[in-house]
Amino acid sequence: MTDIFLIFDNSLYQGLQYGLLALSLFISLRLLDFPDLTIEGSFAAGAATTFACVHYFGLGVISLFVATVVGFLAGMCTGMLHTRLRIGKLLSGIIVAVGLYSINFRIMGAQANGYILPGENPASVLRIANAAVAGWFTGNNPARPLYVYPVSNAILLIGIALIILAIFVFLRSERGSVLRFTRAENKLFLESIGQDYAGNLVVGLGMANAVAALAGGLVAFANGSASLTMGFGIILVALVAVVLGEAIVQVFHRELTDLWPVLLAPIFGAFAYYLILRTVQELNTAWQIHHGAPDPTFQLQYFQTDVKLLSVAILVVISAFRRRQVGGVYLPERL
Amino acid sequence: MRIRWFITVGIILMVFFNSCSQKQPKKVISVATFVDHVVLNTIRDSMKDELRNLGYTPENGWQIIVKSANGQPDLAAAVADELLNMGPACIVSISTPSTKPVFEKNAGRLPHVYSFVSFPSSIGIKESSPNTTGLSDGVDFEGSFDLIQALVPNLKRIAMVYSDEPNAVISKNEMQRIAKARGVEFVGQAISKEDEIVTALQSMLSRGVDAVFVGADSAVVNKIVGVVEIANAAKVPVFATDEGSIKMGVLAGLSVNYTDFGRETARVVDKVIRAKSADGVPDLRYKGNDLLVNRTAVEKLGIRLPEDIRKRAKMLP
Repeated sequence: MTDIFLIFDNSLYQGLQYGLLALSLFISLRLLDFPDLTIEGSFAAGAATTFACVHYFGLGVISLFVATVVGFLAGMCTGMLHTRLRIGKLLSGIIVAVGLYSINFRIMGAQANGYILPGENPASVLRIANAAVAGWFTGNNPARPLYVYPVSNAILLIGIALIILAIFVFLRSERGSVLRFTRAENKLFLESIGQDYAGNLVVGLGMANAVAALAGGLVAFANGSASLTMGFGIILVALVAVVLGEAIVQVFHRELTDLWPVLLAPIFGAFAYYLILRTVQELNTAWQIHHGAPDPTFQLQYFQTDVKLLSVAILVVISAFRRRQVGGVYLPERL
Repeated sequence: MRIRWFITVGIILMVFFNSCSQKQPKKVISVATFVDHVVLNTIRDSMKDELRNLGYTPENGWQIIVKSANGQPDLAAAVADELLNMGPACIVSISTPSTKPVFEKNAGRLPHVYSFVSFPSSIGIKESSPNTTGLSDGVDFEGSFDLIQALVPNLKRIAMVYSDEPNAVISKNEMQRIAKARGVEFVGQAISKEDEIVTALQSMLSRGVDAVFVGADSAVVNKIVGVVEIANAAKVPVFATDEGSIKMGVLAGLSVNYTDFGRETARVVDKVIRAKSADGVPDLRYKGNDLLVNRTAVEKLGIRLPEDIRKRAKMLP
């Protein structure tokens, strides 16, 4: 039973950090209908800013706010490129993400990898608390310590609940309702009610990337490190989490029309994603032990490189079991 | 409805795993690496071989579990969680990006041996860190300078091209310091792009230098063939610190032998497991001690190898 608890706890820890990233992709992809590749850059930018603020200026938790602001600016850049310079949706995201790669290097003080030392990391306190709770749980058995994160998880859960509540309240307000209608196909409608598509899109993308940068900052605190390459391919994690989360929510909530279930979906999805990854890894370990540690090049095993194939497989399987038509009418293709 | 099936299957799988793990031996050495890379794989494989020689075999009930993070920092954290929760006798982490999450999460609870970390202090590991020990790799600059002076007896000016990466800057600072101490003039040229290497080197060669040194600098090492060509045309020998460059035509160098490095890691792991703690085992700084000489370059430059170097050196064709 302990093992299942361990897997759940560790996956929840990972899932809560990357759930915010998925929430960011949910805002841009589902609310604004904008496939936003900027998060590949703004996620790393958030981590880099957090590292720089903590390492060079000793700002502690305040650095998360700085990271959020940096992410907001990055998202606004993408929105500006799309609306003012009329660059395509995908390309404007790619431009900002690629440009941020160079900027992140400068933010981190001309380093490719930044390491937050344990002494200056505010998450060190949580680490000690986690270890204490785990030690109390196992009766301080030094031979088999448990690596669980109950305190961190509780704080992350409360924090994320507050963030989601804030976004929920905002989207329910008059201003937020307009944001929910900010999609390319509603341009004429928005103009008819005296609203500006371009301005709303810029703000919406800024919001999405602010959340992504916040996720980057949390990851930097949790791992104690930030690196230039940490954003590469992270969009796949976010995408799988969003799609997986929607599949999970649909089990309890048939239609994805209410606001609160779909806002929670990305968090569930990220949790489920890391749960699946972890389970596959553990099964692989059991298999390795069963076979007496096979050669590292032996093909009949799960390589860590297979994580991409596994993610893609999750996407395909969920798409295969999705409703394709309602009342005889085919639903449009959906990302 | 079908999603419910998936959840059920997932739970069944986990219950299955749970029943498996009860029988899992406590005699486990878990190894975290970051990515599939020539150096990391060499260390991993030679370490596993040496551990097998030391008696950590499946027949004796020992399991060595290796997990790579596929180059993704998010997976490095997940892998660290998994390996630590396995309850191993000792956890080994190879390379800095894998060592950081293991060190952070472990916090001295299990014996932790790191390997192939160039600057442990940069990630907060100190000699006094609880239950943590390991091996860092480094370039033997003093030894390299001895080698250069042995092969170029009347060394007056030494040239170096370096990029802005941290290892390169450290190489440059060290060489500059040693050259000053030994009364040799140091000519350095910083570059920001790989294309600038050739021009920078040509301008330095035209001012007359006796030797060119290439540090632990991936930008210059990538262009090593061009560097060797230009320098050899001016009859100036090139020295380096990695085996790959010496194979590509660099005259000689002291390089870290990563097979030996992996074996040494295995011996440290053995010590730690015997002591059941990493506290008493000192951190090691493993320096390049493999003297490699390129035979073709020796013939081309017409250099006479001193007798002691000829004995120590491993000749590469």
